[in-house]
Amino acid sequence: MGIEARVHRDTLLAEAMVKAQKGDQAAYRELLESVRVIVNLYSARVLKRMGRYDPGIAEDMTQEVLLALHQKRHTYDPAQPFLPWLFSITRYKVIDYGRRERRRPTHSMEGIEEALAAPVFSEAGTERDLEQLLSTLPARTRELLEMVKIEGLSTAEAAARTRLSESNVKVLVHRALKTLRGRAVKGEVT
Amino acid sequence: MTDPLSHLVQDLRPVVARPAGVTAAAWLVFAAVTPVVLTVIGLGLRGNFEVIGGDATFWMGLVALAGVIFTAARLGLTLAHPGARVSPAMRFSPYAALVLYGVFALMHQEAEAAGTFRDGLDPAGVGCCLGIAGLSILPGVVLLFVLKKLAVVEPLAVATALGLAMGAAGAIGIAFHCESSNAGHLVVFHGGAMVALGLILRPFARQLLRW
Repeated sequence: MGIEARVHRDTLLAEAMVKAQKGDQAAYRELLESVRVIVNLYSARVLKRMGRYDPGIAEDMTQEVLLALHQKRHTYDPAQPFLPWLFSITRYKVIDYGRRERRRPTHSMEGIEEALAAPVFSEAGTERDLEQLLSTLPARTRELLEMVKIEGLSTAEAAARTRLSESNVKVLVHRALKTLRGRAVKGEVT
Repeated sequence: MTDPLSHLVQDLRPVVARPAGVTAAAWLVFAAVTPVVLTVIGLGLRGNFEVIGGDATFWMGLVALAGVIFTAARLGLTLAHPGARVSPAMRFSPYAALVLYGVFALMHQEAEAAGTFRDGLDPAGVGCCLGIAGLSILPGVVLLFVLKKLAVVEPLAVATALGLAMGAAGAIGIAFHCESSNAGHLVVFHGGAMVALGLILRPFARQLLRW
């Protein structure tokens, strides 16, 4: 995926965020579903760097980030790209989570700051992980996901192209995101 | 099991994103006026105000302090928006305004024939530091309240900016009570109080600005 596609993806997320700031629940749900996958990947990578990968911990971190995103959505400036805002919050909450859990005997989170010293998502790494995840989906589902989430088609447009009903497209895209999230949490990427 | 996303979606309400510069400008007005009012009512207007009030260098110093207030507040508020791009110029601007304050202090000393820089280094000047700290509390608490509503991801930098901003607010107030026109006194005890407040807040940055 080239720079144009990455910028396009950021633009789609930014547009959904602006709609969410105005109270659009449908756009907000779509945004949260996409963000959930991204943050799961991020958390999984950080934990793997520390040699402490655990899907439960990755999911805990993800939920904290999603809650923080929800509580601080008024701090997103629509004139700025979305992903730097998201990753700044994610990094902060992941470090905060690690510091809190360090005090507990059950979860040893030593080394979390060191794990975040280098960028977690290099451009090439991100695309490789996402390509790997997408390749685990059946061809039709992958095609639909790419149309709606990457190319930015509406569900109606995607339905027209694939000759499926709109409700069918929505269900398939929703299931695909759920599947991707589950695979990202389980660490089905290297 | 309920999808956790549903709770967030159902809790969605419209929000308004305010630019950091607008908030900083609004806080500047509050931070500049409140300490002056408190000084005049609580400590009394300086006895030589009729003379000093006609000296342009006195007002230039206040403008520089207003510059410290605005640039430090704007920096802190901008850094409280995750992912915000902060230029080196913006990071340095409060210190540039502080330097300007020092320059205007020298000009004021010259204009008022207020001795040499060293003449102003009387330890009694610490009283002004305490006055500045006291006058800075209310504007500082208000700005801290605003910052905590945002999302500070660089707590050390924001705490320093907060200290400078509230210190400058206190310094504007004390300028209407303190009768010294000596640059040594103004730079060390007034300027020093601002810097000290920024440094004092740093160890408490994470706890103060946590979210």
